[in-house]
Amino acid sequence: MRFRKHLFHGMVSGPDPDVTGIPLEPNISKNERMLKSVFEACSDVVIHSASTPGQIDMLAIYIAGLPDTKHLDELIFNQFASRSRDLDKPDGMERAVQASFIPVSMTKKVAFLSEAVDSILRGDVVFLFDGVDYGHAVSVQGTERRAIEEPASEPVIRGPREGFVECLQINTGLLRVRLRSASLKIETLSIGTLSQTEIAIAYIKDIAKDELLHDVRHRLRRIRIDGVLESGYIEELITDTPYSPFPQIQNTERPDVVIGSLLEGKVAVITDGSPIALVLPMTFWTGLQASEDYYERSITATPIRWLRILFTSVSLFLPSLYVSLVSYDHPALPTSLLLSIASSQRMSPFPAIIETLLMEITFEALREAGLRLPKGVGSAVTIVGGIVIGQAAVQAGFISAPVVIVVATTGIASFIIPRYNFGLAFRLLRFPLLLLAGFMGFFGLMIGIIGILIHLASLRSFGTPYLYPLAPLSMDGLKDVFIRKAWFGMNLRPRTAAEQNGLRIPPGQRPDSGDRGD
Amino acid sequence: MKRRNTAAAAVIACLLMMTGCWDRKEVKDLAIVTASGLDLNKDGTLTQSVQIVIPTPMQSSGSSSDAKSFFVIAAEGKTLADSRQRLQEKIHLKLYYSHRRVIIIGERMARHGLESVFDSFHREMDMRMRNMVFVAKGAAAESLLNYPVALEAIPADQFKNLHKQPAGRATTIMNFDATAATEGIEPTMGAFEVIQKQASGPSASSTGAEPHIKLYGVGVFKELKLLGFFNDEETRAMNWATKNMAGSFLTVYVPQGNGNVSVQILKSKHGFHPLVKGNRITMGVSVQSECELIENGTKLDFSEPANVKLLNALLSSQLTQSIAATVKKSQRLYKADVFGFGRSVHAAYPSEWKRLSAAWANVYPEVEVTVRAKTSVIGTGYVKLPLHRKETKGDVE
Amino acid sequence: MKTEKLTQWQFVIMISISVLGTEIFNIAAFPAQFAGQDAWISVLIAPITSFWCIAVCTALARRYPDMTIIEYSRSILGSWVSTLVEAYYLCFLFVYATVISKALADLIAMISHQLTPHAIILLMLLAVCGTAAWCGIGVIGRCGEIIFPIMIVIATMILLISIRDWNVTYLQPVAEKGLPSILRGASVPSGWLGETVLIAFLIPFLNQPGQARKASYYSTLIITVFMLKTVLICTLAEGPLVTKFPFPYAALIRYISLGDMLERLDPVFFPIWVSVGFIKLATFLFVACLCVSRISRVKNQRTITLPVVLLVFAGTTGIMKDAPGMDAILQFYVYTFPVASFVAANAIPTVLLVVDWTYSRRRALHEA
Repeated sequence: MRFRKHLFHGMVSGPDPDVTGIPLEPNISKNERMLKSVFEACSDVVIHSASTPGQIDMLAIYIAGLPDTKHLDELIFNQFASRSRDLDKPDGMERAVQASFIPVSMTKKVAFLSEAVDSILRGDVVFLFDGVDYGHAVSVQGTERRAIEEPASEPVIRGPREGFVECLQINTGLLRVRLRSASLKIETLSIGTLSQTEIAIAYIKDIAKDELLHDVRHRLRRIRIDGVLESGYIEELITDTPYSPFPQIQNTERPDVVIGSLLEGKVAVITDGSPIALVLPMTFWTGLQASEDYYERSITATPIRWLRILFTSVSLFLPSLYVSLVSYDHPALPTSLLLSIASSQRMSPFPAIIETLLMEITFEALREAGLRLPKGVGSAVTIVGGIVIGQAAVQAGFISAPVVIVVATTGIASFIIPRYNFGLAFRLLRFPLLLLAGFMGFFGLMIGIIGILIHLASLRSFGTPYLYPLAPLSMDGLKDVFIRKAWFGMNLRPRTAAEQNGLRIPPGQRPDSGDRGD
Repeated sequence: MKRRNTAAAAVIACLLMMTGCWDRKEVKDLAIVTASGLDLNKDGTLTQSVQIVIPTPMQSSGSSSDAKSFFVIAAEGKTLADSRQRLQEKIHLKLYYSHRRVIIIGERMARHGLESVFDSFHREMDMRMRNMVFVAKGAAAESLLNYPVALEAIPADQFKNLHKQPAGRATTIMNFDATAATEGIEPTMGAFEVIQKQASGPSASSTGAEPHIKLYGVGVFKELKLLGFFNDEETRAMNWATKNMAGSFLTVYVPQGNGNVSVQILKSKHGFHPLVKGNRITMGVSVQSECELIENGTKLDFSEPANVKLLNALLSSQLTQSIAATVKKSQRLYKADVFGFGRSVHAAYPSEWKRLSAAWANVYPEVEVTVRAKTSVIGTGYVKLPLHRKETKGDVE
Repeated sequence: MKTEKLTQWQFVIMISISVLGTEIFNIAAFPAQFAGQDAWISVLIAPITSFWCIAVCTALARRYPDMTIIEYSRSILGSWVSTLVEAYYLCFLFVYATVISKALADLIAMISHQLTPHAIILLMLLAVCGTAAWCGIGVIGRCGEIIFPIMIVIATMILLISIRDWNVTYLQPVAEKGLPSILRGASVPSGWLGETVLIAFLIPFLNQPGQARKASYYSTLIITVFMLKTVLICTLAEGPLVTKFPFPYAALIRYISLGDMLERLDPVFFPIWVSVGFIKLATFLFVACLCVSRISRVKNQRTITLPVVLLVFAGTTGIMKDAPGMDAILQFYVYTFPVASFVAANAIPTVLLVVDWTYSRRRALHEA
């Protein structure tokens, strides 16, 4: 059985190769014919021909809906018409054209057919003039885009409420607004032969490591794909270990998170068409950090961090712990607890492992279903599902009550993980651990934990070990892992940043240290 | 190659699905044993009895107070293991011993000797060294397990907690073994007896008195054979010499005041001071304690230093006498060094001990023991004088 | 593929855990057999072999940087004589890896999984440790960094909970049995400490080889402190029973209790200790694969991992079949192991150093 492997040696389907390399002709009707043949059967391409009062033919080609036609009409055509008296001078065309286009911020010359086609596809208006072998691509984009609003997946109590949108320029603008320095470098490239999606790499020069930048550029450049719709495509294509449940690239919808990471020497990759920005490299502990940790005071943020770490472990281990304690390691339970569990388990026909597995799967199904429901109904379903079904199952004698408690606690604990893609890893890993615990009790659970530990220890994200700063141990990096040292204490950047710019906050900034300036 | 790897991985994954595996014990298949009893029958066989708790959910504990929350089954066998197997024949659930807390040994078995029983204890996998052992005086262990217990979810805890008092001694198997294995000290085991309680009030059963269990002091062992008992007074005396007795009470009759006075101990220190001169061994037992007055049945005012001195002297002499009496009993009657005098000689005179240790059982009765107890009353409780008395001249003096 | 290097702290942890991993359970029994209640003094004397071994091995490593003991023994002694040395180390590592896996599996089987066939437990253990050894020393180092603080926390917890059961009279009288017994008691712990010969294999993997001596001394210190603590609390809590238990520390863990809640916690504590043993086993497997690859001059060590693990697994089923249960292993520890370890850790490196020193002197005289 051949799996069509012969197709693997072909080319990624892309635009018609006949378009590349052909220059524009001075003859406008030839140009028009070429463009019409390229855009055959594209009924939304408008080819608007006009002739100026100076009897020079002009062609405006654009895709309906992309440019702002009001702007086009008012400013450009009218402007052009008013300058028409200069046209009979030898370079009058040039000057008229330049003058008319002043109200427009982005203009460029196109000399090749492929460039003209590209510009048209990007939403520019291409003006071609008879007798001139180049055209002008004018960018007057005016499509309706989504307004900047609070990101739905990362709400905060304290912190900015702006989130990225789908337009790349607006997103990079949001970054620039926060980091007004020329050291913030933004490099763009296009990925996707058919989609020609623009990807921007953002970093701060001299803070981000050179090897990291080199690595990122190299990985992005070697992508060959037909279309990129979302940053997730890019993420999977450049990540170190695609089959690991733990993500090695951070996703975020918030510009302040991106800027914070850039200041630590990380690199951001923003994709046009997606509000999710990628930040790399990522460590395990980044997945457990929320932006509020940094905006609230450290003395209150630190215990909340501990709570988060505790409940993250609960979400991973509690069902397996329950199963192993109840099926294998009864000595470890206090006797009264054991008796209580025994009496409630008496009714249920299933062994503990099967009960727990069933309930966990049901809970996951409820969670997924809850995502698709309309907003108003969503909370009702979780209440109905969680409480009523669980209660009814216990009373009918299918499931014992401790299992419902365990599953509910695990579910709540898994919501405490701030990064959604990171939380997915824990949701997934719960099940193998559950099976192992059902197989060998606490020993099986331990083997599972060791297996996960080995995996985490061998994971690297763009060169940084995943468990940094806990392993390899870095004492100043630890200031941000289990505690959140106050800002006046976080003097050095983590090792992800380049060595020569390690200092970010000079010591001695503590407000009550005596030097108050009065 | 890749297909083979995936196939292998799939097979291994299926193996993991075999969760009906070897060591899994579902809780509903277990009979949780919280106490065992061992008795020797007249024909030399063993009877092992176990107390099994009936699981009740925590919230409904208040509802049924007269239904028993446990039951006892017993079986005979030639050895401990044999009787255990026969016990399992009497109940369909698997007997689960890991939660056992208490082992009660009947008096006859204890006098006969516990060598074989302890041997079995140590080899058992689910024996926990923290289990406490006790002797049942004048009764069979099985009967002890059967008595109902008030206010206790796990009935076996009553045995354990009864002996955690100054008049008792709760020995774990580990302690018992360690003491038995140490030279120069003999182990003791807490003891219980059964007494008949007078029926009190209309709620008592119509058949009359209900028997219940009472602490009886300790049993004295030598070479794992029960020699005899110390009653609660003697046990208290023994504990005075060997433990910190904070929290216990002393009562003394004060002839000058024509009444009894009770004090509560706040701190106590004890020590052994051996002196070996050739073949003559003297042991000084010193006990120092500080206490607080809690009940004054006399007319004396104990805020007066003179009265306090008197009370101290009386308390000290009472303590000295009771300790000396107990020492004498252990020397004369049992010839068993339950106090650990030999151990302290060993610690102080290691070279001498080499020649004394072999015959310590014979040397021990010859040891001259002097007891010095010093008690000082340092407080009089909340008040100096009882609040209800009228102030008369006599009291102030 | 670039080989990963270990940081200082990772090195210290790995060497410490490589010794502590399995010995912590039965450490108290062996010195006590000879020295009675003075076992703790024996433990204080035992690090002598370790210091000796470290001094010699780091001196050799300084003369031959980037080489493991296999390679520089070849250059010092010549290929024929060094085959004996290499074979000895190979044997030592293999036997010891087998004994460790069997000891760990037996411990788990004895405590909580009596009915499960040992083969399954061994398979799971070896699968995990083999994967770690396959991933390389960097991964083992990082796992160790995570597990080490957990181990300290658990050990401290056990220490604190056990204080209730301490009885100082069990330690008296001190030094009763005299120096000879104490020295005899020190033989087994010193054998264990001789496992620091692992540094002879691991120094090339350090990212700062010059600091190896200091790091190894730290490890020995940590190991001695741990051993001392274990022996002391076992003696204080169990007294004369220490010699009667095959695993005194295990018995202690089964015994301790805090109120009514934290009792009988051995099914919880043991697997945590198993994770410490896993690091030890993974390190030994890695070093065994390293040894095999250097002897057979195979460049890529990873490919050897699977055969070595399978051999170890086969070994565990075959080894000590005649003697039941743990007795054979205990006999091994008391009699064979100290001698074998002494030869591996002290005798052979010292001989190598002396020979090398004489040759280099002779060469220097020649050239002069």
